[in-house]
Amino acid sequence: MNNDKPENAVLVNQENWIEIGEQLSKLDQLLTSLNCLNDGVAVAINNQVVTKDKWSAQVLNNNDKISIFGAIAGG
Amino acid sequence: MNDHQGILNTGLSSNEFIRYSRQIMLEQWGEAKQLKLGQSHVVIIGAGGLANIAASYLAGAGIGRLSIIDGDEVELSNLPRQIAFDLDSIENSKVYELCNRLREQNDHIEVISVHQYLDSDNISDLVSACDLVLDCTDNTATRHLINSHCVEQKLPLLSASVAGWHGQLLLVDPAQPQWGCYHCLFPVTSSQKEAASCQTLGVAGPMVGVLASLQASQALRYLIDAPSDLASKFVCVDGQTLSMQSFSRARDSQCLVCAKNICEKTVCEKIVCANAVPEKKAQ
Repeated sequence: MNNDKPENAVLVNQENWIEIGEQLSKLDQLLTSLNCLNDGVAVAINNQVVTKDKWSAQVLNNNDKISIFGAIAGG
Repeated sequence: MNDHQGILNTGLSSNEFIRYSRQIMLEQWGEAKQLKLGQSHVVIIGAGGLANIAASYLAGAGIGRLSIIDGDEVELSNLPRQIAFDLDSIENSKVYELCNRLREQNDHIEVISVHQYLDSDNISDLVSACDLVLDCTDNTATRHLINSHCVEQKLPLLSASVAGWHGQLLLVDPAQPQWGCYHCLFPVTSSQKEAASCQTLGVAGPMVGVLASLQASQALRYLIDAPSDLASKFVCVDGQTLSMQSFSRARDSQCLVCAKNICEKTVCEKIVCANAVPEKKAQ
C-alpha cells in the first residue's frame, strides 16, 4: 500500500486508498475517476462481483475492498 | 498387450483398472465414475499452451472422446509453453501434432482433430452434443463467440486464460444460470481494448501449466460430479505473489447473452432487457 488511509475511503486493488464522500459515493463514479469505466473491466467489492448493470446504484462504503480487473485472453 | 475387453458395459478391463487405479482410489472417484469418464465427450477449442497440457491430463484420465479444434500451425516461439510439440512439429498442424501425441498416450480413448479456426459459421457444427467445452483459445472475440454459443446451446463451458504471470478460470454451468456467463463478467464495449494475451503481454511458460492443470482438474471434477462451487466463482491466479483470489459471480440483468428474451414474433429475434415482457404474438 502506498498511501495512508483517509477517514472515509475504499481500498482499490490492495494498493491505493481512494477517499469517498459526497462527490464520489457510487461505484461508477469511482471507475470514472480511475478512467476505466468503459474499458471492459470487471469489478468486485469484498470479493463479490458487481455486474455492470448495478454500477450506478452500488454505494461505496468505508473500508470496502475494490478489485478491478481486465479480461485475460491468452491461451 | 492391449486389453480392451469389458470396456462397453461390463466395467473396466484389468488393463484400464491398473491404468486408472491411482485416481479411482480417490474418495469422490471410484470405478463407476471412471466408466462415466469413458463415456464422456469433451470439446477443446484451441490446441496451444493450455490445450497441450489440459488435453494431456484429460486423455490420461480416460475421457472417452476428445475433440480438439484449432486452425493454427506450430511455430518456434510456441515451444517454451506448448510442451507437446518439439522441433519436428514446427509448421505442422497443432491439432494433428497434439492428437497424435494423445493417441500415443492413451489408446483406450477416441481423439478427433479438427484443423479449422472456429468462427460463427462453423461453431454450430463443430461444438455440439458434448459433456463439456474447454475454452483454451487466445483472443477475446473467440472467447465471446464460444460463451454465446454455449449459453445458447446449454453446453457447460470451462474457460481458462493466461498471460504474463496471471491467469483466470471460470465455469459457466447451464444448470446454474443464476451466476451469469462470461459476458456478464466482461461485457464487450465499443471502446474496449483487446484483452491481455501471450502475444501482447508475453507469458511465463509454467503459468500456462498452472492454469491448464487447474482447468483439467476442474473438468474432471465436473465430469465425475464432485462437489464444487466453481460455477459461482471467478478465479484469478497471480504467479508473482503466489496467490489465488476467488470472487463470487452474479448474473447481469442486462446481459445480452444470458439474460435476453426472445421476441415471439415469427421471424424476429429481439434482444431486450431481461425484465421486459416479450410482445405477444399477433392473433
